[in-house]
Amino acid sequence: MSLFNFIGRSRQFEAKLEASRCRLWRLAHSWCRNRALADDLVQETLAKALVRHSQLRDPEAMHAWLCSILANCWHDHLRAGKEAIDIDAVEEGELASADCPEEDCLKNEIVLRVRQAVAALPPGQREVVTLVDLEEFSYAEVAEILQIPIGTVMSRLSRARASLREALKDAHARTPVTKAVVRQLRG
Amino acid sequence: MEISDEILGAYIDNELDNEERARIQERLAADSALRARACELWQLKQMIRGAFPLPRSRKDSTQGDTRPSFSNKWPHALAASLFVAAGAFSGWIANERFASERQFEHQIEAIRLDGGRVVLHLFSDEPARMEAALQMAEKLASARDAQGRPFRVEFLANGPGLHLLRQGGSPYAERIEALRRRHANLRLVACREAMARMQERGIDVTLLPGVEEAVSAESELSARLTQGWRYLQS
Repeated sequence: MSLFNFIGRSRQFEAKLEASRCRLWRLAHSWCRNRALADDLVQETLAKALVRHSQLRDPEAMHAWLCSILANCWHDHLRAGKEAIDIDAVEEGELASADCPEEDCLKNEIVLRVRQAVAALPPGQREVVTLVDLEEFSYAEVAEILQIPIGTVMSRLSRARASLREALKDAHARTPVTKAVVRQLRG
Repeated sequence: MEISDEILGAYIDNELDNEERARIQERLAADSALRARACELWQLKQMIRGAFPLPRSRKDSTQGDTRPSFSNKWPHALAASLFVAAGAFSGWIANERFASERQFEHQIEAIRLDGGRVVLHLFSDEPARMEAALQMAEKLASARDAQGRPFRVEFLANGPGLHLLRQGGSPYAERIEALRRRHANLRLVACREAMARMQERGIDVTLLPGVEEAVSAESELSARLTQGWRYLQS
């Protein structure tokens, strides 16, 4: 390969890494619920990806590959016993909207509750539910990313959703949606 | 036989094969308690999506701050997910029974009574769904509201559904062009986030002529549904 090609390919690779950054950050944040730690995990993931880029066989699967590196970084972090999440910490800065009418406050409250409910899940369930619902990976892809059997993906997902449903029961009831859905179902 | 939450979840996540999918659809059509359980799972999925919006890219954030920051508008993502949960679920149920012509006529009637404004949402590249979406678009765009005015129809594509509106990716380019020329009341809209995702994967995303871009499918849906538009999904 000529040097020119090599540089060209590296640039393309770096551009793709950059494009995945926001999604990785969101995923990391949903796992650790700490902005600074999410920054660190993403940095570490991107640094590892740059070093190991020759291991990426299928460029189409780049995002899944990055997520698997992120999952490893996160697991290393957990193993080191560093998980110190304050699940009650209110992320005020993020939630303040310019004008805070009542409706926005209700939405913010729901968002906080959803995030807290996700944070309260065991890490394995938290990872599966976010990979499926946020990143829209298939069960097979999630199994590959987390290196677990597909049956485990399904059971963790199901347990996670059961806990979330329980934790968010009355959040459902407070949204105008529930009424509308009930109406739709009757109709 | 009782359908487990695991299987119902797999249905919502589009993980079942055609045979199993059809079996669940049959049960859903007949069993309102099962529909309520499915709806709850669906809503939960939307709530999670709404609670973790994608941060803005680093380039957009303030210089010197390398941390991704949230857009001021982000609570709308949740609003979208909540409204979509209500609207989409009806569309979703409707879609399951689209085989029945009468059911679709019923939907058109409901839209007519509601002011004749509808978002038709496609997020699949399965040929059968694309075909169904085009047929629905044609019928909706030809329909008239109570005052005799043509329906206002927005055809919104995201996810794999974006292929339908993409040059070189759509086997229906000519049909879509004809549809667009025939119906001035039909807008074709592509989700910019879905476009970015495809581009990330190295796919060229040049849209068909006349296709507009929305910041995201979610924000577009949120805006439309809060304006009282109806929602249908193919």
